[in-house]
Amino acid sequence: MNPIIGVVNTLILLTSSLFVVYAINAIRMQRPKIAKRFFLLAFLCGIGFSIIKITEYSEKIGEGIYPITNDFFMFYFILTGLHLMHVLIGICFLGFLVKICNSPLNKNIKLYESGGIFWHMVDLLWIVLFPLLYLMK
Amino acid sequence: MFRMLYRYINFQSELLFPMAVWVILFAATCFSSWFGDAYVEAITINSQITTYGLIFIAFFKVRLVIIHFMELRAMPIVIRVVGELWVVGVCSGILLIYTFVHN
Repeated sequence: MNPIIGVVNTLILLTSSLFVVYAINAIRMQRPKIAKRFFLLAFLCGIGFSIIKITEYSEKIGEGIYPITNDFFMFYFILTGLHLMHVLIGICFLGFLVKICNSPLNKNIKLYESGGIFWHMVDLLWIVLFPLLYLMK
Repeated sequence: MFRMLYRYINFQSELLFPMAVWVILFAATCFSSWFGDAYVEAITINSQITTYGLIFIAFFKVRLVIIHFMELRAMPIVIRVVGELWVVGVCSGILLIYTFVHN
């Protein structure tokens, strides 16, 4: 397990959460153009996280480590796999929010807040998963 | 003029406050990563202490994200209490399970 990749992933998700906070603030201040930029930045952070995760999986599988190798790697692949699924759903939601930022749908702030909270939840899951999988001995 | 100053300060704090929370989260992440690796190598008193420390730092970060980014701060008291109890409950749950499994 490479903790450095884990730290980089954690920092990417924390930064994307910050961007989402700024985006929601911008929506509340009726500035959809700024919100669109911040949602786009969060979207790109999410894509970066997914790319690094998939690289990490391919590295593990290249070394011959599969979910059936042992208990730890079973937990590792399943927990991070489910988390990656949530990240991908969050990325789709963020992409949708980027698209509708400038349209009349931006009257409904609950949509943006839901997307923001879902993304924060994804970040939260990773903040707990990271020490459990990467740092504990 | 005071109104402009008030709006300026409000705007700055809306800009800087999440950034301050992010800096704390960033620092806590780097610290816990060092703590998980170097502490055990250098001092190796007890890997249990390291694990407790890591879980506490993780849930400290979780609490920061829930209260500031997810805006539990602005919620009614009942919801805020439930949120805080959830953080405490899950953290203790994990630590209890770890203690029993370890021993």
